[in-house]
Amino acid sequence: MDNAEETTGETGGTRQRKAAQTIVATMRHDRERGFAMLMARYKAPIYWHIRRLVVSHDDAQDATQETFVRTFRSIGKLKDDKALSVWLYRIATNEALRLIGRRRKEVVTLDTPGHGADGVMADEYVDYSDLEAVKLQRAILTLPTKQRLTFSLRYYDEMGYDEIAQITGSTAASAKVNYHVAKDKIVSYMNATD
Amino acid sequence: MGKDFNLERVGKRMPYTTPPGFFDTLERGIREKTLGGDARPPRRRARRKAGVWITAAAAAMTAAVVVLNVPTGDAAQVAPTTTELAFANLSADDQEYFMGLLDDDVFFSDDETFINEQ
Repeated sequence: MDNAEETTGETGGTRQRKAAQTIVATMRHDRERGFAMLMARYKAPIYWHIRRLVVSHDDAQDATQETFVRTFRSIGKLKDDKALSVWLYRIATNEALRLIGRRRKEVVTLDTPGHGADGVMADEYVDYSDLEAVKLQRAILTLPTKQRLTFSLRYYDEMGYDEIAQITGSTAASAKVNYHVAKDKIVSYMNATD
Repeated sequence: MGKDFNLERVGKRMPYTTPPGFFDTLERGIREKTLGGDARPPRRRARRKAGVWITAAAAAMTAAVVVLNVPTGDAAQVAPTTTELAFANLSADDQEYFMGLLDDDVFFSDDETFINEQ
């Protein structure tokens, strides 16, 4: 439990949902201010989420831009203001999968097998000197798409299994299994290859 | 890396990087596609608009006085009275903003510094 949680009795999830509600409410009556709040809170996490999926910086930039443009234009359709985060990550994931599909010239869904570690690091914006971090990303990219997505949302974005389930269209139990299977596979990969 | 890999050792470290100033550029790009690239808050825009209208009205009236050769004296009082009426119709905030503009203008300011320089 962090200090704020001890003081207010609120969990991180509750605080996030309240923050999301405030952002959506602000976007509805003051677009400028709402936009600034949305960017401040989500631009970096959404970019990194997409980047981990598509790898290429240029692709991640395009998909992030498209994600926020779509979000901004259709914010009125959001039924539950507290679900902003899940909604954003869903749009971001779809944009990332669409880009990967375009690159591979096929439709990519969450059930598509991983696209392997080979195409991983042919990007200008990768620090090759951190060998262990490079290898970990290679390991993550060998996972099937749904496991990779689940691992990324849990490990890097620290999301709860219920939120992950909403983003991936599965159940919390299934998300939990996917995460642990993914983690085991990653550890095996890291131990097996040099 | 051995046979005892532990995820915690790498933590959330990633090899991915971004160009310098990337997130600012990204935000600008998104802003242009959504808000049309205008970063000024609406309230400030409204105040600027009011200021522009008042300045334009004052300029038009001054031009009319010069072109029509309106004699000085009682008749010339029409222009300032109209301007005053327009000013009175503004909200308190916009009046304050406009007065702020005048305060900063060396040709309108009552500041003694400018009087002494004349």
